[in-house]
Amino acid sequence: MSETLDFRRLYLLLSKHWFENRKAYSLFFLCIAAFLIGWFFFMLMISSPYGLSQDNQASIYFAGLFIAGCISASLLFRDFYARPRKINYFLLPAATLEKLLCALFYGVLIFFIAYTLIFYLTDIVAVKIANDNNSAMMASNTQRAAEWRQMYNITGPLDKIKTGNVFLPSADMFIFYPGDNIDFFTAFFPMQSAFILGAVYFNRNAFFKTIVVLLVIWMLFFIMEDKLFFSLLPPDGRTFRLFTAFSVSDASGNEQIYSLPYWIGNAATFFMRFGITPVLWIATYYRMKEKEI
Amino acid sequence: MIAIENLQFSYPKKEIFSGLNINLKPGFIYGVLGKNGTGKSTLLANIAGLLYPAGGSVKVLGFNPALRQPGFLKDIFMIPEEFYLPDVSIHNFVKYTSPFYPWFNEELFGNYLTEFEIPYKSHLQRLSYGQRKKVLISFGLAANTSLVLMDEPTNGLDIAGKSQFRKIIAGAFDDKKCIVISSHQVKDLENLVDRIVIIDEGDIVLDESIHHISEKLSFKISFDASETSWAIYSEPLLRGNAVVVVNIEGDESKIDLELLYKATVTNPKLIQSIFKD
Repeated sequence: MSETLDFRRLYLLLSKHWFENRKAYSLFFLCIAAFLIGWFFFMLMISSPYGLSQDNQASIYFAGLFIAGCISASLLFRDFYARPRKINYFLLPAATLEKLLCALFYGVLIFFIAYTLIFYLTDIVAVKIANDNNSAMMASNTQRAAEWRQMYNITGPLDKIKTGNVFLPSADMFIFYPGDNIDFFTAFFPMQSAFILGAVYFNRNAFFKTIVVLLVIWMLFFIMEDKLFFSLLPPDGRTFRLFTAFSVSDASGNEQIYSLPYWIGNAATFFMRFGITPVLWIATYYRMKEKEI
Repeated sequence: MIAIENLQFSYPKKEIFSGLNINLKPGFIYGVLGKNGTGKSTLLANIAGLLYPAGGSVKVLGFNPALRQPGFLKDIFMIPEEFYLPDVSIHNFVKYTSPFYPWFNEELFGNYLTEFEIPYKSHLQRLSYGQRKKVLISFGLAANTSLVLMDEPTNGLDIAGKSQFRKIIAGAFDDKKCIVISSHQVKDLENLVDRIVIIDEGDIVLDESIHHISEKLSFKISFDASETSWAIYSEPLLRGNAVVVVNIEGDESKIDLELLYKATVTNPKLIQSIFKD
């Protein structure tokens, strides 16, 4: 058997982990379901025919994904909270890589699938209720129905709200510049990986400590950008394509663009999208190896 | 089986070992004695790969424990003083944990549980601390690993449990295994261990077999004032004195581990010089 990765041992580890933690996982996913139901209930209470628009559904999905994903990542290594659990974890005859893969399987893959399923189960019901409510409202001759017609310029029957598809590119957010999109998914996985690494670094209160560290890094980044980077460049310009291009207006008002070779920008974007997550997983692996009781 | 050379280890505010050397061989049950904070648990944790030495080398079963490789972990079992068991039944604990130990013997495990009077159908979290410790001891011995490390194993065991523990250890032992038991409750180790290691101030002050100790030292109650005065160690009793003296007559006496420990830590150089001969 390999000392680094053996699939039979990994299967045993996955089975053991599931059996010993199934109640905790079930409870966690029930909490997520309750949270989403509460949120949808609140949205249904909002007096608007478009309260559950596809954009709003996507917002709920991603907000829940980020919050629940980062909390669950912080809880992945709760075996490190106390010495007896740490001893039990370290002495279980499995390789560090297998233990990491087990954590990623449940914390990243299973979490993502289960969260998405729970979201759609609640979302489909909420959309149906919203459509029924809207139809009933528009069929009535109440004061509110008249207000809706006037406020939202509704002349005919109200369009049915459709269930949102969070995997469509329309869910993109613009972080850097149009065309340099980092969508929510490619922002979520690095963020979750940072919380997984934080769970290994910090034995207690990993979630809050990781937030503090990320905020400090974010602040340092902006201080560096403002004090160092922009002090070297002409005033009133702006960067884009992950700081590999700089745009500034000349005296006649024409925009001048100074750019590093395109491949550098592409490589930087590729790294932001797909590189950070594995790098943080590798860092987690080495931190697990060096960890003592 | 365990070769430790020049082990150096410190906690942030306290140095524990500054050059410890020891070799532990298969076929022995080692009793590691020492007062609190002398490094008994730290030594076991270094052997198990739970703590990493700052210097020196630790080799266990040919592995570097700090790498925590599966080939190493499947051949050692540690029963720590503070332990964790999952919230499952004994049956499921065995079902999901024993496959990691290729030489685990379920029949033996059942026998040990019976000896400890623990029902096999119990749920781990519904057992008392002492009962859970008995389950862990049973599992560790049934795992049939070459090395078993026990840190204060009798803490939390009742009087009957302590004698059951001694009986089970004696029955589970064979010449290919090495069992290391760390304890400050020396009475619990009497009639069980066959080699004594005493740690004091981070150093090994005695590492001798029971047989050799009883050859060299005599443990008795003395009513003779002159014998008490030249004893290596003595302490007053209600009647007479308990003494440790050099065994001149050649009669092997029953070793009183508590007296041996006190004699060694109060007079380490004298004890070491006796065993050098």
